[in-house]
Amino acid sequence: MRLAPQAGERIDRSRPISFRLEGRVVSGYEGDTIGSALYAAGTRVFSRSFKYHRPRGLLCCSGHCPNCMMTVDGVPNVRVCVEPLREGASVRAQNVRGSLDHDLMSVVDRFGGPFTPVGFYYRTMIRPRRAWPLYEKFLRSVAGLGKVGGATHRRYDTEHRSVDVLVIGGGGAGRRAASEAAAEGFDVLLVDEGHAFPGSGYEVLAPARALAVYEGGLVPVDAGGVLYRVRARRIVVAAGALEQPLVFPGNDLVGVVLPQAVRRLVSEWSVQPGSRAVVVGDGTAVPYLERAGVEVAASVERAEQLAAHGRHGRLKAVTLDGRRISCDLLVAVGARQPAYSLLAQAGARVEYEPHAGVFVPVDLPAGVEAVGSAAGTGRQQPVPAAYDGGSDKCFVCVCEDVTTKDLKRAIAEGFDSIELAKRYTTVTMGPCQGKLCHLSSIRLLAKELGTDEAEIGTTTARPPWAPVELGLLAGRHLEPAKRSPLQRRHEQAGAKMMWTGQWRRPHSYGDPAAEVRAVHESLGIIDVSTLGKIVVEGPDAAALLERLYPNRFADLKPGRIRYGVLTTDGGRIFDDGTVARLDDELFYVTTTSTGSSGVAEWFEWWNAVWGYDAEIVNLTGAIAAMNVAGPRAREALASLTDADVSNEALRYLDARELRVAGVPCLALRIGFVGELGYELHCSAGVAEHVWDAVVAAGAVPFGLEPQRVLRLEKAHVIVSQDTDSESNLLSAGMPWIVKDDKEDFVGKWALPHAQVRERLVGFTCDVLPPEGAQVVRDGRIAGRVTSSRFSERVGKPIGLCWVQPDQAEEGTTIQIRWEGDVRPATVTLSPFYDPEGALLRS
Amino acid sequence: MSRLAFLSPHEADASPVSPIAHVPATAFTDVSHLGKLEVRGGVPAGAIPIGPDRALVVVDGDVRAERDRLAAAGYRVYDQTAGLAALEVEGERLMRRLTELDLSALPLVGAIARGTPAVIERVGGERFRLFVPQELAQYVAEVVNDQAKGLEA
Repeated sequence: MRLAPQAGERIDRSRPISFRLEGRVVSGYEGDTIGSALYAAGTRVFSRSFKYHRPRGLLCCSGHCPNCMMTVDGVPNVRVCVEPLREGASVRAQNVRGSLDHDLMSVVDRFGGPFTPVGFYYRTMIRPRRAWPLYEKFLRSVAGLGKVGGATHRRYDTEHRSVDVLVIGGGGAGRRAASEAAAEGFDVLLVDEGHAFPGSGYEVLAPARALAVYEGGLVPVDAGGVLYRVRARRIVVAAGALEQPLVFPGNDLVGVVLPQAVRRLVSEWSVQPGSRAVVVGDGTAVPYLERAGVEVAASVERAEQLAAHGRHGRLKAVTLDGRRISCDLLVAVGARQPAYSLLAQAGARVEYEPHAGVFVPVDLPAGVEAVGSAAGTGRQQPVPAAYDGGSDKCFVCVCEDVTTKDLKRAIAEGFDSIELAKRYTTVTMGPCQGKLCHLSSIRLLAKELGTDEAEIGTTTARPPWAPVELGLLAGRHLEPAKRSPLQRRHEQAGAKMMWTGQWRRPHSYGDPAAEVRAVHESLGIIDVSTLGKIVVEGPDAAALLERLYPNRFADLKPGRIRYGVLTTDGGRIFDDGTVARLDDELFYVTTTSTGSSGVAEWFEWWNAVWGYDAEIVNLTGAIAAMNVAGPRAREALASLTDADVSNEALRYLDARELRVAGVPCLALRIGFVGELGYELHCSAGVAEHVWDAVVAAGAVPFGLEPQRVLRLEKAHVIVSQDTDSESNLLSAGMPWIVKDDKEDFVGKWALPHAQVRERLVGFTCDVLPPEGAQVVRDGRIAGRVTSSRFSERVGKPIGLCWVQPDQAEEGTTIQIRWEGDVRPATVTLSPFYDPEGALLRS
Repeated sequence: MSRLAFLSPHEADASPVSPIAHVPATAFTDVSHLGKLEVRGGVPAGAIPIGPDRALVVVDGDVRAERDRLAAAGYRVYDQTAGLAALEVEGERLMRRLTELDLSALPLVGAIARGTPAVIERVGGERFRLFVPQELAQYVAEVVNDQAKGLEA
């Protein structure tokens, strides 16, 4: 029932809003929360409890307790008491079989007691073992906190903020701290769980909840659909104190509330909370009750004996110090526990204050302050840990339905430390995360064990302090994809794309076999812009490379190219590519597609260690590269350039700068795919122009799949596909790379110790084994297949595999096993196609 | 041909294509045409420092002339014009959704859009310029558009 209009109310009675509860239309006003509108419309039961399915109503009305959690527009566990009302919202009960008023599962409350003591599922339900999955499924469906629906289309964003001072909590103390800091000229942000208000000289973020305090003053703040990652030089916690429920029989009945619920219902939404009330604890609610026309039947500061009685889960009467009083509202509160969790996360210690009966934060770290009641400076009279007696259940934790009996039983079973009792009974592990039960459970434990609260201590305060949607933590789904400067051309040509690392690259353009044939018989072009490209320049460039690579570069002549393999200090292969000397002091290095930044950093590091004068410039993105290969490659190139590209002027392993179709290119005559070919490197900004010209000259675009067949025919190794982090140059069959007589190079010291446990060899087989198939010998694993493809040229499946060293002989028969079959294969040590490399030189 | 001519799109008889030319520019202005020269051996006046003795010189005009001038002044110059895409965006809130860098300390080198390396400068008021590797430019442009959409909601 609404009260007459009053000053300061938050609702706008001229703007009604209608929404649905279980399909039934309900109305409220602009400014209402879903909870206040439902309460005004007469709803008292908002949820059914976790385990016993007891009816539950508003308790804190501040977004802390689990009692008002409902499913709103498909989103579960929404605390409707703080969720702003919106037109057309669909509100549904959760964890209910039937309806809120008649829940079939409430039999657990009436008859299940003896069968469902704390931890019952650890004992009775694990036998027989086989049946556990069934039990688990059943338990999961009857206990719990709503169901996560299908995909919701909510948007979650992340925003970074950097401020001088962050104030958490917008009560009196928080506002005061904020304006003082603002007056001193600091950049101040205040976050508050309640409604927004204008700050004087500072910014207000509300409604928003600080979730945690991490190192470096990082505070994630949940502001609905946006997660603010606030970095603050100073953090002021003004989170206030949390009203603690009293622990007495029937303390969860609908109608038992905390004073702040009365205050908010009456003053913010002008709702009459009940008709006849009993007040226990501080009298802060009394003026609000009177203003709302609620009869206050009794009000005591401290009760010696307390029990609530109800029917169908609703409060009907209270026994207060021997007197039975009928009422429909019991406003009961114990201690006001300083909200210290964020302070504890920041590094503060927490200490029990026996005179107040609460835990208070002490030894705050630098840059963190507590003001107002969060600091725990107020004095109050400790209340009893629990009121015994009465017939009804006496709840310590309403989230998880943990009663005093459960906690006592856990202690009797030996779970007598707070951390163990917490894990066994799940007290403080529910949605409120101990806001309303942490203190009670510690005090009860102390009482039962005959010790004091300081001895028991607290559990560790961990983030998040307030419940948060996982979507908000995950944020937007952002997956970086690297695109070649020729990507548009591939898309236009209908290429089938595949992921290789962060790159999207063409697998093929429809017919890999035809693309292989085009390269062998005529002309192909493949985009290799993903290759790393690094310029090394300076007086010491040659010396640097000479010392980085196992092979020799100091004697490389300008205009010439050499294949290079990089090894780690331990002699393991980690990248490969070509090195072209463009000038005495200028080298152009290519790396694998995934290796560019790693290699550039490796070069820079050694350059600094050795103190050489050389610049290392990673130009991977600035340069596009395409490999033009096939018997017609020279003819095509000649038609696009004025330069002399004859076999005498541009020999195999020559590097030459020339213009192709009017675009300056670096042409590297190399042959990864085994045919006469030129790798053309040009500015990424004009790459499409070169590509178009070469395609117009008759080149057929080919993708990675045909390239893999072509390079396998040449037995060219792909580092990290055919090698792994253990491979060295000797085992990978590249001893010719190593120039032992060089004074020093990275990995040299490891060479004498290099063990050749396996060797990489080629093989042919009658049936195509999958990559990863095992090489077996006498029934035991002796190697594996790293690459395999069917080659039309060779006329059968070919591949590379690791074998034991004594099997690395031409013509040896090895056994390859996959899917249960073992098949013979023949070791081949030279390339399958053009073994002398005559075509490359032609 | 000049040294490393194949690096420079301005040396070609063809019009350079922006790597984000095909992305709808709903929340950014594509200024990838700007010349970007990576300079080693010091930080020339007006350049953006990007490391010890390293700088990015942004050129709105004759890139080749500027390159030759810097080379004559003793710097080693590498043309990153095609290597970096450039986007201009408006608004501090949008920027705060893109990066955790301190916007009061620009220009800076850091990460935007979850880990993409970038050089960020303020070009006046609440207008910012982002230089990002061209291979990730479409991704960044799409994230900028998406984040701007989130601000409207």
